[in-house]
Amino acid sequence: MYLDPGLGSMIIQIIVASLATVGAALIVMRNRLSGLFKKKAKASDETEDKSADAVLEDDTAPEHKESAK
Amino acid sequence: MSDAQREFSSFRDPSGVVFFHDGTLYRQINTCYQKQYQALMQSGLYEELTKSGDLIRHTETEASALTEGAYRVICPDRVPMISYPYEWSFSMLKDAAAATLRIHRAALEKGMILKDASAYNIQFVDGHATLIDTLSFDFYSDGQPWIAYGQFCRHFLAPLFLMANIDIRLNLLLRDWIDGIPLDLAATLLNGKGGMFAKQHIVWHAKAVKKHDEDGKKQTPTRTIKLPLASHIALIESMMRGVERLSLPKVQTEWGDYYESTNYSRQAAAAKQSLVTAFLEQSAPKTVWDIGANDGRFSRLALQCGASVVALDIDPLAVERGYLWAKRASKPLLPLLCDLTNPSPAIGFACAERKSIFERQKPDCILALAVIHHLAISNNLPLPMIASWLASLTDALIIEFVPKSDSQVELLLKTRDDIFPDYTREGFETAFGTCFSIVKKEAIIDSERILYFMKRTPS
Repeated sequence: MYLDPGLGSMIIQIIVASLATVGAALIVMRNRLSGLFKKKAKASDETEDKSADAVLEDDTAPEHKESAK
Repeated sequence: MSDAQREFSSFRDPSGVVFFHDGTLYRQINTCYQKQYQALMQSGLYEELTKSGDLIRHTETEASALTEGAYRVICPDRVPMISYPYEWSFSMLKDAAAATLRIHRAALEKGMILKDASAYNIQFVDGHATLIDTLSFDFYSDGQPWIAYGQFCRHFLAPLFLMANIDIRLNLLLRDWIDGIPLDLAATLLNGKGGMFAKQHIVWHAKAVKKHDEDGKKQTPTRTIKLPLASHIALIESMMRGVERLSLPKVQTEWGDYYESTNYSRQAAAAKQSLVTAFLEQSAPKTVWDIGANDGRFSRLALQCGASVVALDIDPLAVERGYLWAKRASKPLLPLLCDLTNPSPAIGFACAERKSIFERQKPDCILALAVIHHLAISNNLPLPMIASWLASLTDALIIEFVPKSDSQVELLLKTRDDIFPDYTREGFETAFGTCFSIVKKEAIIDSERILYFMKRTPS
């Protein structure tokens, strides 16, 4: 090591790194939360899709019934 | 090795030394660096970084060492033209900073660190920022802060913040401060601008440096500072994100829209291109300097002829555009900021640590298109002086003469007295005839300009 790192640079690094660690934790939390919401949204979309499918099935059902007649 | 020559700037690091022998560049690795070098090569870090283009490739050779204490001699790939951070555009400095952080981050994964963060260790190869100092790596020890953090802030963050927030030309401060812009000066100039990112790494950093400046004189033992690896990584990654977010404000400089406001007709522009190409093909250069290159539009003709090109221009935004093109195209085009009337001097210890721009390469050919009137009329440079200067730089010259009747020269003379009686085609040919012989000359159709291909006459 031929570089003089300087004590001031070392000390500020600890402070700035603590902020960065908190920042990184917040980013992880934000990503998890948005992931969770996305999952929920996806799940509700799927539920909606399923109910839509069910409606379609119901719509087609009388025809089937009629054709069965 | 008697006829080997040590690279003058290679004196700081005891890990090794750079030298030249028979025109080949070598790097000697000393025994004190053997373990670190082996770790770099065996950990997969060298492979990873050279594959991505972030680190220069080398071959291990049997060449003789320059000095005693050598473990090995390696032969790194040559960079066609060495450039310095005060010649880079904003994005060049930003990409060099990003590469430095990326390399340190990758090194941490392998239990190593980047032990210094000098901007001079980064060079541009085909538009990619590449670390050229193979001996910049060291072992990471548990809880160790980044020893190169202060240097990184002075060499990269300070000029980037100043360019982005105050003035794009402020990277020229690096010419006066060879080890990076002092953080207290950067903090004063920023005057609160740059947001939280600048506040942490420049303003607070400057205060901490000042506060602990004289701790070495104290009798109390120096405290040990520990930074857990997770926090170390969080710091580097937050700086990577911060650097990525830095951008220039939308500004327009003198030459920013040159090609949109030029006086060339479409026909004249096409004729000039084909003439330049024909002269370049005749010259067949391996290295070309395009002086007054703007964004390197004509430099690309030299690239097409297989040359590696240095495109010099005074306008930081033109250099920026040229670099972004070279980066996208991965071409050997190196746009650099250069005021031809005040080019980069030799700086540093003994005025020899960083070479002047003219000492770093002797181009096979110089392209001087639409630049002579700026040198002769805007800067009062006598034509014989321009001719002998160009003859000191190259053997082949493709130069465009722009007469007084041209609208661009008329514009220059509009606000000043015409004290240039010799600025005529005859005067130009006489002045250049003392150093060069004219191989070909062609008028550019649909314009008043003449394009010359000249070769230097043996002195």
